[in-house]
Amino acid sequence: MNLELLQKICGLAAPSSGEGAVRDCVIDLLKDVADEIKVDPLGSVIARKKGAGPKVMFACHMDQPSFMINFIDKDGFLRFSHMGKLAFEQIRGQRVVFQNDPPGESLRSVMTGVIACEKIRDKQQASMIHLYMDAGFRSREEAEKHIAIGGLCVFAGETVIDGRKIISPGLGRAGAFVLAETAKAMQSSPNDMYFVFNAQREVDFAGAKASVWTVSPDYAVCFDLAPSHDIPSPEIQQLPVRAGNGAAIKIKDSSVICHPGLIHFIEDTAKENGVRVQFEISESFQSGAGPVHTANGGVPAGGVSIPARGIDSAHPIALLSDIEESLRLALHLAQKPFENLV
Amino acid sequence: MEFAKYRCDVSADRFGNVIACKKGKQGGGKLMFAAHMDEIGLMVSQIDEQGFLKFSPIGGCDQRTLLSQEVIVHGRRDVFGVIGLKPPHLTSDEEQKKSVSIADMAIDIGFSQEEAEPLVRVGDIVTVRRKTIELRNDLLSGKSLDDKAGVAALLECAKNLVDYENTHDLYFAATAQKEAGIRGARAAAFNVNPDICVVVDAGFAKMPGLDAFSAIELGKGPAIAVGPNIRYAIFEVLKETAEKNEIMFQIDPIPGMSYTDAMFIQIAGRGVATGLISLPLKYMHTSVETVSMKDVTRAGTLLSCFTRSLNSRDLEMVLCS
Amino acid sequence: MLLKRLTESAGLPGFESGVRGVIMAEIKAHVDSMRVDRMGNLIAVKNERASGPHIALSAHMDEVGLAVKGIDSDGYLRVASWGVDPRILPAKTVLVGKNKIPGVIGFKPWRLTSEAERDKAAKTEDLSIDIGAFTKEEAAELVSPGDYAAFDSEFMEFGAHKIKAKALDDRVGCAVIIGILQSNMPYKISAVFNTQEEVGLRGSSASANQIFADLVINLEGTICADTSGVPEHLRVTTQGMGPAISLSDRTSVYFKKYREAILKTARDNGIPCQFRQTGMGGTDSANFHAAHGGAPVIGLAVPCRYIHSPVSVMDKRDFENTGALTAKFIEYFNQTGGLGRES
Repeated sequence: MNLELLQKICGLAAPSSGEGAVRDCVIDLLKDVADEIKVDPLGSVIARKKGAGPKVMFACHMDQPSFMINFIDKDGFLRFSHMGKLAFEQIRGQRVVFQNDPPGESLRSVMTGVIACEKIRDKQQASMIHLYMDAGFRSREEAEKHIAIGGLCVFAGETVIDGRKIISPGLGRAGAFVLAETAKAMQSSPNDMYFVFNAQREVDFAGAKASVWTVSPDYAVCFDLAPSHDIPSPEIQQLPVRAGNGAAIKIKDSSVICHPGLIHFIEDTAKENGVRVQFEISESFQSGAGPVHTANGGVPAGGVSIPARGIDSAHPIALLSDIEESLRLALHLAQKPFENLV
Repeated sequence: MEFAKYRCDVSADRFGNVIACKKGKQGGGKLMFAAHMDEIGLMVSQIDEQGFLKFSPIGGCDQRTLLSQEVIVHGRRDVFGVIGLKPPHLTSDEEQKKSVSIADMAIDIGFSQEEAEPLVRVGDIVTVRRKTIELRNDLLSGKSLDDKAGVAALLECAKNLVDYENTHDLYFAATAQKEAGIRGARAAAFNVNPDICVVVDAGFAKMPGLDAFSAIELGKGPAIAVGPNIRYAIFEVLKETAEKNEIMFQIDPIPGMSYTDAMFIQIAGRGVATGLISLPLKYMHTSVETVSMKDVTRAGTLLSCFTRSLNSRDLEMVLCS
Repeated sequence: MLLKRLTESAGLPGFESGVRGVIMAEIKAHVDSMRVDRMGNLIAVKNERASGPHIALSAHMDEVGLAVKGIDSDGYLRVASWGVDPRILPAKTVLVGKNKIPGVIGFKPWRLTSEAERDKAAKTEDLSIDIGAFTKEEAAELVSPGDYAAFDSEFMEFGAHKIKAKALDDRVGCAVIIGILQSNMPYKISAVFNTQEEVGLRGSSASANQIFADLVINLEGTICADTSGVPEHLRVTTQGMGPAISLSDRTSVYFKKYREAILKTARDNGIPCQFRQTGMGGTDSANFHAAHGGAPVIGLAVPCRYIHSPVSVMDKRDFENTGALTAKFIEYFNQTGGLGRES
């Protein structure tokens, strides 16, 4: 597995609606292997590898949980809104890195800040509205030289890969890594393959809603993370996903119940090729498969998920072995005819 | 001043009560009918730096009936305002379960502090702005029908008696400051010093959440109250009068304090033989108080028939019977 | 006044025909085509044949209010609501159904409640509408379950430049669009007046699939918390500072390129404007943003205090400036060939 590429893709910063860096990277990777590449109005990348068979869409997303600055106070502190399912406790105290916005010479340097909380007497009462960002400014005027209202930022944090795992604020893009590698590595496909790298997952899946209409696929397989249920929280341990048990074939999450034809097809493909798999049943987790399967009069959809811990936090973790199994599965799937699945 | 149309001499006493008198013959007794003319309201307590007005209530009021109301601030001129609710993004789920306290409300008059200050001062009175509307069955709904409806009953009585030669002196008192602690009635009763006084005030009418045994009913006639705040003989005369004249009525038992003008008129000066007519009214002390106009008219008729029934009678003897 | 007529007509979700009628009469003479779709959305096109970029303007016609669930044995109407904080309901007047039967929402007398009780929020299920009927039968002759009850609130001007009315969200948007359609602009403009925004952006989920525009401008009445004691950073918008340009909300991100273009238009024309400083809420933009392959959207809104109540308050100047900025931006967008010829 190309760990260098994994590190690169996950390590980029791609707040929702500001996915440019990842978009450029993906286009660069695929420009020589795809028959067609286009960028849709929301900024999603749609790469096609032509085939004679049915239209099969492999979808993932490029963005990550992110923040938008919406107010700068007179002392230079920033207030923000968040995009993505982020809880107060996950945000408070974290470090953030700003996208270079507005563009300008002095801003090419990376700017970081810290999310802090107002002092609240009753600590139980502290909530999102009490959080602010401190980027070391001392006045509104000073702040405005570096950041504009509408500016974007993401959690700061080094993308760490050791022999076993990856920790990264952009871990959600492990799906994008799998798709890019699959598109590059696959030989000719019996399917008309569309590799879709969606923008704006964290804004109610806006990118996926738009691109599924454009691609109009016969089948879809969505690649994303899934919450691993093996964490020390007895309430969720009855659910099946375990980090280290391989790629997770999505049966359901709170946004979709996958098409049985696709579930079986993916499972059979894994078995035939000795890919280690498990099944995903998630309760309070949504994925791009949700809006995709109800689009265009119904798109039979399945999913391949990478188990991850701390999925809605600044520093999610996944095991490399699971990413590797997902990649193998994706590659086999891409080259197998999606026939008579429904 | 409406009372002047009905051959009454109208004056105001030193407390601010309006007292209309229709003199009887020399040597007669004194009859007084009273209803309060004030209403619950609010008072400006502060003008904040954004021009919003903080306020405190005058008279008993449930804070839950104030949100999203339109108000008139009776300042140098009448100033329109609204009592707003803060938007949901500033309201936690916990807060949503609680009512908003008056301390957290403010009146928005659409002016900045500089613009507001020449118009409004601390201490200005604020009332809810509400057009009185008609509902089915001759019901009337609006603010301050407690006890404007009672004053209307007094006027109805005066109208009925305009050509009547009463032997006793008749006093119609529109009392002040009832909601602030039944204050005006004490002065009015002292000044008039009547032998008998019948008070007309609002009584709790049946509504969702109040059963028939804790309330009187709208449209079923004025309720003649009975209890310690009422001289039993007056209750009896009122009841007999209603029966004899076929005026629809009901009985309102008030075993404790009535919290009406009757409560203090009874013990004013040398004491007054007091009766009480409760006008059935729903949603008391809100801006959608609802009464039946039929009940109001009937109450006026009852008072005029009551007056006629006492004519030429020695009031002391009435009370002894 | 147009806005008075719009705010004083009733249009609860699913019952927008009253408002739609007012709008149709206003725009009929100024558009090339006009139709009502299966969801009740009103879609009109001005200068259908004009070449050049195509902008669609969107606003919603519906407003929050109450629905009659049934009539109890004493003739009171029991109600349900969607999108109304029940704390604002006690002691209000309403108009029930098409025949606008007046009614009041009563409340227990103050003296018969305990202090503990008064500290609790009112609940919709404990409230009812009194139309003055004494029996169930009597009420049933006038009202039936399913009828809506709209707030009874008069449009009025007060304070310095303020307007109080119900349903400013989103009759202000409707009024801005009507103003544009009535102007003599030569550009192709679609106007979409949506139903059922308040119950989950439902009208626009159908209308968005029928609109193929280069850019959608969604016009709204939005949250404004510039009220007593609210710190500056939580106010979202401030009255008198002009139209609020959306940044992002739960379901849409408003692209920087278009945000900046509209900001430039405002500055070039000396029109005040501000940002909508929150990421909360969702509007019909969501559907236009993601429909058939995705389209850029801009959100412009008039700041409204006490939104979703019978006494919403706006600043007349913000409303006028929203109309002015929308018009200037349409012009700019067309003159730059859809921002394509920007310098």
